[in-house]
Amino acid sequence: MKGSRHGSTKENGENAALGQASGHTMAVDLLIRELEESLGQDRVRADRIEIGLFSGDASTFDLGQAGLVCMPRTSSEVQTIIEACNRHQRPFVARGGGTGLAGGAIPCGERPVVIALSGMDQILEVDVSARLAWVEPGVINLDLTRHLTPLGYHFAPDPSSQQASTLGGNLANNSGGPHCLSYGVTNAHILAMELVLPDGSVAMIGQDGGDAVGYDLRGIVVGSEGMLGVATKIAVKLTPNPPAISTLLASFPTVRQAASAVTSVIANGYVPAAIELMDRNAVKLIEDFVHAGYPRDAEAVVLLELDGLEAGVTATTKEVSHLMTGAGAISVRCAADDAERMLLWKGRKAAFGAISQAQPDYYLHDTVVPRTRLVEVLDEVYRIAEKYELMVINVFHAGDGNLHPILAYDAREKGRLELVHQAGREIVEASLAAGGVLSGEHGIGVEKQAYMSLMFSSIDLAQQDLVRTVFDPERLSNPGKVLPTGATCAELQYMNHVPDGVWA
Amino acid sequence: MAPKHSNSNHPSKGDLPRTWAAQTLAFAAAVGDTRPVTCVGGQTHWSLAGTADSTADRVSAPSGVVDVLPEEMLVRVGAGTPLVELAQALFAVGQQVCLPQDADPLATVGGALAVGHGGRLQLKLGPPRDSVMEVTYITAQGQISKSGGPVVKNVSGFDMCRLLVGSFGTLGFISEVVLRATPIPAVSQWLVGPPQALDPQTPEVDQSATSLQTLLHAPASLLYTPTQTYVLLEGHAMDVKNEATMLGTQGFEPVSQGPTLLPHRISCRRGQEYRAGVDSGVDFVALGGVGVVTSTHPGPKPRIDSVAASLNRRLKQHFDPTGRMNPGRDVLAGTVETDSAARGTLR
Ligand SMILES: Cc1cc2nc3c(=O)[nH]c(=O)nc-3n(C[C@H](O)[C@H](O)[C@H](O)COP(=O)(O)OP(=O)(O)OC[C@H]3O[C@@H](n4cnc5c(N)ncnc54)[C@H](O)[C@@H]3O)c2cc1C
Repeated sequence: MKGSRHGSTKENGENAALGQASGHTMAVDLLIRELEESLGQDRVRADRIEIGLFSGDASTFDLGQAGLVCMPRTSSEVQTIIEACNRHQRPFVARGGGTGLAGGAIPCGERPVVIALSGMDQILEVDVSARLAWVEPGVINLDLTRHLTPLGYHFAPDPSSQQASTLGGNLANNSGGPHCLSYGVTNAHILAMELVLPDGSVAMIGQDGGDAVGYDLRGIVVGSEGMLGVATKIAVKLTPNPPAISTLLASFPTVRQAASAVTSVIANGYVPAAIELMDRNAVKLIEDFVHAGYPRDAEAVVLLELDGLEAGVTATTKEVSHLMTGAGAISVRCAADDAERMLLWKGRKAAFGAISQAQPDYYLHDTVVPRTRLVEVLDEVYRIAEKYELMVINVFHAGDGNLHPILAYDAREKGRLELVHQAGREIVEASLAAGGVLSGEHGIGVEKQAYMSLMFSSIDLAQQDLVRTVFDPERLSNPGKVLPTGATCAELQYMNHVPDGVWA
Repeated sequence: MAPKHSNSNHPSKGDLPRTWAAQTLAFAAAVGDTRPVTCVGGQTHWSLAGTADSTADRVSAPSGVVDVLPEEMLVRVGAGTPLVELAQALFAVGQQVCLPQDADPLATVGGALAVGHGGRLQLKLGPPRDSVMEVTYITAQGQISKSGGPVVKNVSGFDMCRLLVGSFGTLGFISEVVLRATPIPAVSQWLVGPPQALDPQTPEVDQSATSLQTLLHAPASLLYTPTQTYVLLEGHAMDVKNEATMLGTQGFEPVSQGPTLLPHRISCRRGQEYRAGVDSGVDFVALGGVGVVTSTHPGPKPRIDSVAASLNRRLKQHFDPTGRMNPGRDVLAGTVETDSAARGTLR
């Protein structure tokens, strides 16, 4: 949390990294020396700037303190780092683009080693006949799709962070995106991977085709937030580009009507490629920022995309437009060409950037509710924001029921962030009360760890913890995340900064 | 038990959850926490993954379609429910799930998930593992545990649904699941045409399969036999007609049904199904694009990375320390472990 009790530790970055706490100096130096020998000095960093850069991610949490940053280029270098961490009993955390919003890549525990994978960014193989590609984990999501475009394919999961997030991060967070409504989230697009396990051994899990052999280890590793090992090579599915696309923008006099239009489209048996909803606040900020052509007088707009073969898309466009009008749309516009379609999407994708015009900081929530409960949960979100006098902006994957209320605030105002967190908790509770879940795509990380017991019983959590025990008995891989059992990230950091000897 | 939306004489909406909760509790009690116990579905795939210990107690998961939620495109169903019953309940609301469609009438939802094999529509609908949104299961300690949620998207903790699908009930017994459903398309048309051919220049690639996949946008199914190729087109009537006409120029013609899958399954790299079928040397029906060949005889033993295999064993030891869940079953039965040196075989 910004400005919290751990905020000050960052200032001491360099010293902490070099293990100023006397009892640790030798061990830290030895680990650095060992890794420098293997990777070279330029790829093992412990200077203040690097430590500062790699101690946080895109979330608002400021709990982390990297001990050391390593920049491997190959799987065997990742293995070398993890083996060294095991010898020195040091935790480690894989890091991709650092765009995670739940604090998953924040280094926790006893001077953790950050394994920064952005240098492992090669597309190793594209096999169109098998419709798969093998990539390194540091490949940026959008770079993969750009590489595949001339071949007529793309990688279907398209998080709004796709210009900066990596395939490794997408895999670890089981990321989604607007087009996951019809194509499915990342789990459905990962076939296999090479995984360096937390003890340094290397497993090849999943298949490049056919039935799973043994348990679906691939399936459990996807979405496990880097706690079961580090993916060093990933086989992804290629999705053919659709021959026809139709993008609609419908404007509504109320958010309720927009939300019920979404429910009605799904209830009538249509599965569009994407359905995104943006409220008045969002529309205003987006229009001021990128001029996407959204109607400023609307209380809400729905961006809906249909894709597939020509005749089906044409017919469905008509039917869906009709449904929207029936649900109260003031206008329904269909993008006339690719340029207009791109502009409509540019608006949606620029939404987060646009918020900075309103407030310097924002907190983006992520819960999922049954689609039929969207209207009532949205009402509740507005009520909560009003109660705490916070500006709320709703831009979300409505077709999936995946809410993303954005609470905009100024962190310099005393007590503001605390209010944001209180409001956030109530939003999570309202979503769970409606039969929803804690996260649709951002994961639990450190953000929602404390909420896990709202959704799961102690039996459920113990079962999940067993998985962790099987893969990582020493709890070295990204400790302090997801599972509320044992030490959380905050507790681990706290222990880390207790003066030497106190525990003796 | 009837789905909520039906007008049958079954319990009313208010009673149903209570009745259902009682069934789950009864199932957990039957599983218990000490004696060896075998979970029995329709026994249609009983010979897979080892041999069930016949001396163990036998239990069956609750049966019934609990809740059909067409507007959510979800269905909540007891694991003991016959697939046919589930298909009928969904058909009534114009939807389907990606469990094998041409199943034996005895086959159950829980059995299909425990085995984890996709059916003829896997190319379009994906493997069964992708459709499980929530699972309620009984642990080896006889406790009721849950993972996932009744929504279409979820990253909340480790996803136990993935581990249970394809686990042959060796980690826990599935009691109830929420599955993702999809609309049944307006038009479905099977076509049959000439067999695939192997290009002598690049024999490892099924050339005609590649061109079929390039020619068609998203066929629902591609099935190859030694002598014929079957294609299932689905969607809007005009699109199906257009693609069927295009296939007509390649020697395809409409047919009422595609072939039935054969009992044994061989896995191969995606795109190499026809080649793998030919290599098997026996009669086969290959599922194009998904890397599965079904055949009349067992194929070579599937290979598993040795480090992955040891993770499998550790999972079993931790989830079921006394080995009481489905004794005799082993997900690694009949597999061959490859050492690290051979790991380059995948990549
Ligand atoms: C503006 C903005 C918009 C966003 N929009 C979306 C969206 O639409 N949909 C969505 O799902 N998310 C979204 N996100 C969240 C985030 O971008 C995703 O979670 C993304 O997948 C994280 O990727 P990354 O490379 O940045 O991972 P990081 O943040 O670096 O790491 C995330 C997690 O992955 C682990 N990890 C990284 N690489 C590996 C690896 N190779 N092996 C094992 N574990 C690894 C880390 O340890 C950490 O737990 C958004 C974020 C921002 C800032």
